[in-house]
Amino acid sequence: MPNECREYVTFYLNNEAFAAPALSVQEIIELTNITKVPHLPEFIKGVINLRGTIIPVIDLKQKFGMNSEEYKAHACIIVTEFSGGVTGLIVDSVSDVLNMPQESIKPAPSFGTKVRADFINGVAKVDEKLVIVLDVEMVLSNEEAAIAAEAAASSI
Amino acid sequence: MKTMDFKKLHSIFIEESQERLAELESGLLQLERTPDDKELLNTIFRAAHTIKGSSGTLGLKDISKFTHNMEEILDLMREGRLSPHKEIINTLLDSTDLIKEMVESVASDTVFDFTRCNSLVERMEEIRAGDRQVIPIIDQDIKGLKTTPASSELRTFRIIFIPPQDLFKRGIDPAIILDDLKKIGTVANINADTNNIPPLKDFNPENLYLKWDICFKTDKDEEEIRKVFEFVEDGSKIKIIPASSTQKDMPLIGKMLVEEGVVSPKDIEEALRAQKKLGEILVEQGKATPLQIEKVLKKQEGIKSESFKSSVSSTIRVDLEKLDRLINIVGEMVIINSMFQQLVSDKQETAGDAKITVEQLNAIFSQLTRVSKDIQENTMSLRMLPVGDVFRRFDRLVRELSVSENKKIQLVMSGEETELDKGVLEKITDPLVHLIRNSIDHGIEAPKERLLKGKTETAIIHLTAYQLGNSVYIDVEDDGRGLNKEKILEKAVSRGIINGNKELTDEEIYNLIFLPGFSTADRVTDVSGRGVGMDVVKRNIESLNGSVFIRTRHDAGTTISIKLPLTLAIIDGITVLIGNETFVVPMASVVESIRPRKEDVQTIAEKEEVVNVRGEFIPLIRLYETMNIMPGKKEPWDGIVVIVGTENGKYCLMADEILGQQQVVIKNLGRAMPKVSSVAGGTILGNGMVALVLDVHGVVEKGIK
Repeated sequence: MPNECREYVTFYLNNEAFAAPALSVQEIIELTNITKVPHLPEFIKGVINLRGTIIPVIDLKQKFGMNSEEYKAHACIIVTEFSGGVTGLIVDSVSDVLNMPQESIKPAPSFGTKVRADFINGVAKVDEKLVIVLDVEMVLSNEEAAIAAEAAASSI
Repeated sequence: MKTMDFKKLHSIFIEESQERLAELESGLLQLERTPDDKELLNTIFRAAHTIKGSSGTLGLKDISKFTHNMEEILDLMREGRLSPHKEIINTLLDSTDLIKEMVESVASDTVFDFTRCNSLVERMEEIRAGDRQVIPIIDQDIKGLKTTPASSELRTFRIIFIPPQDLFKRGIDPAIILDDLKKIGTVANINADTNNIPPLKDFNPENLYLKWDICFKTDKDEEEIRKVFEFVEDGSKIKIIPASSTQKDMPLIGKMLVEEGVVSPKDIEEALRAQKKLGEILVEQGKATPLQIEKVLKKQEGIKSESFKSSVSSTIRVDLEKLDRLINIVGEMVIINSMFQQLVSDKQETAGDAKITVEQLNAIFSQLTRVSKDIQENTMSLRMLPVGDVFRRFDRLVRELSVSENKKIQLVMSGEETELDKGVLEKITDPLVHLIRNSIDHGIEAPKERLLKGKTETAIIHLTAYQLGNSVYIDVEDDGRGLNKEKILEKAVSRGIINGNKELTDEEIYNLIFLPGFSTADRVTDVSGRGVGMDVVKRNIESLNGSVFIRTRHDAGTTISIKLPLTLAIIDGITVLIGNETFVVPMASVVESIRPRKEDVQTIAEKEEVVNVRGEFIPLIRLYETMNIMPGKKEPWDGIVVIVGTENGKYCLMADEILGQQQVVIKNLGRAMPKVSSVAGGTILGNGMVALVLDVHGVVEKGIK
């Protein structure tokens, strides 16, 4: 279907704009106290209490290998649901919910972003700005492989 | 198409049959002990009959036909023309097993090989043929006695009961009528029609607005049923409709139209014939090809069987009383909610400066606290099932093993009503099977040997469940020969499990049987003796946070006691602080906590640290190191050590300070969270923060490395 529109939640990591399909976003909450869990890769910040349920949160910037400093006032957690379970993603700020036609999402160029190519669904132009459309499923289900690699590296 | 329509009903059928089968099995076992129990025989017969009936209705003709054979035998027994001796019981039990498999194959949507029934059908026919040679003891046609009509077969009636609104005023409780009804048959299904209940403002609590639609099974005739309603016949509308075969195949709307007298059954049948299937219509209109329709139909069937599978595995039967209690409490909560609302709106109406006082809030809050505690407890109890559900199947196990082992054994159960979490219950079944098998194979002597020892010929296995504090204990106790210390030691040394020079206490020796690869059976029987039993038992139980103990005396018997937590979800824990983080140490593994003196902490080979606790040197694990946290207190003599006991000995876990002891609800850290060996889960503290619950085994492993 050529003119199908889908909703995307757009957010910022440092100064880059990203988008995640709204269907996979459960809710957006303020940054709360995170309980650290030991022996895990740096980007898994720990766990939070989401109305009585415990969910893990990850720092998306660290996950993508971007600079991650102190969280600022606008920082929040996007609670996403994917096949592996519910996970919170820490982002710098959430900007908008957009309706984007599928054809406006173009394949990503092979340069210009630190984010691994297989995490990206494509790029779209919104108000003359480039938005990187993420494949949330890939970003999150890639977790275990990353941890295994990390564990292997640390044991050497 | 037709089989697909039945799919929906299959899951109901399976659940019902499984219950009936359990009834059948335990009933038959009981019947062997009390062959004269007529009421019991009736119960068994009804169970078999229900299976036959419901499988027949669902088009599972083979199951129905097979069960019919059983029913015939049971019927002969009811008439007193057969006595339930061992051979018959055996045959019936085997048949029950086979039906169980048939039902399972319906559940898994696989094909059952019905040729497997043949030998059993023959056996059953022989039993029935055997009866014909016996002269019937009871003359069937005793004159003057009213015989039950038409071979006393159970018939299904649909009863529509519309009582007058003023029934209560006449001092009649409809519940009593329903109870009376149950005395002459079984209520298969009952629906209360609430459509007549008026809006609350018109509602008169003294009026009865309900009507009932009852599906009733009985061997009595219509006349008998009508008698039950004798007292309410005035003013009531009572319809008793025998369920006939044509109506069974009819869609519900058709059935109802017939019952209301709008149309005749024949009209419905004609209308049905005229009706075409959606697929056919679409093909006719050229909107789809037959091939496409077929493909989608196949897919649909796949989806149905998938969804059906998941619905079977995850249901739980809940005692109605428990549900009622929960609904009552929820009702209370609604009241509290409106109290709160009232309070707020009152304040808004009066001038804005009036404030809600702390006392007012406290009053509501204390009620809310009580109610939420009740809700928590009651919701947890929904997961609790009586252990009797599991115990009952051991009756059969013991019976069979005693035959194959040529031993005389009686199983005595007590505390069947003790409740355990459904998850725990499912996981202890296998360990219990192992323990009972072990008892029978190793513990209990052959009858002759028992007589020589001056014991009774029949051995007794006691299966006992009881609750003590926050734990449930299940004991498997036999009066056999007891564990043989020398034999265990000999075996352990010869297998290289232990070093022969080491002195062991009796308890340590007995616990050797829990080690992997250990078995004292000289010969391998099909019961046990492969040495894979006890270590699996121990592991399974420990995975439930439980533990196993052995008590044994030579020639007096062995008791194996399993201790289990009441539920998996709530544990007692000690909360400790390390840096800014709170952790929970499960109480089950805590021995004591101390603050050691500086001189008590020593280093071995400049690496491993130990704490001297009253002369005992216990390895020290600094939690802040293992858990990677900036500690508040760097040295054990400033902080505190919690001594924990594991199967590998005691360890000191060092923390900054102990915050307190409390019950915590263990939650998992989310499905997406990778497993961390030192963390058993998390819990939510009063301030809303998550605290991690330590997995003591994992912490020790990490800390010692």
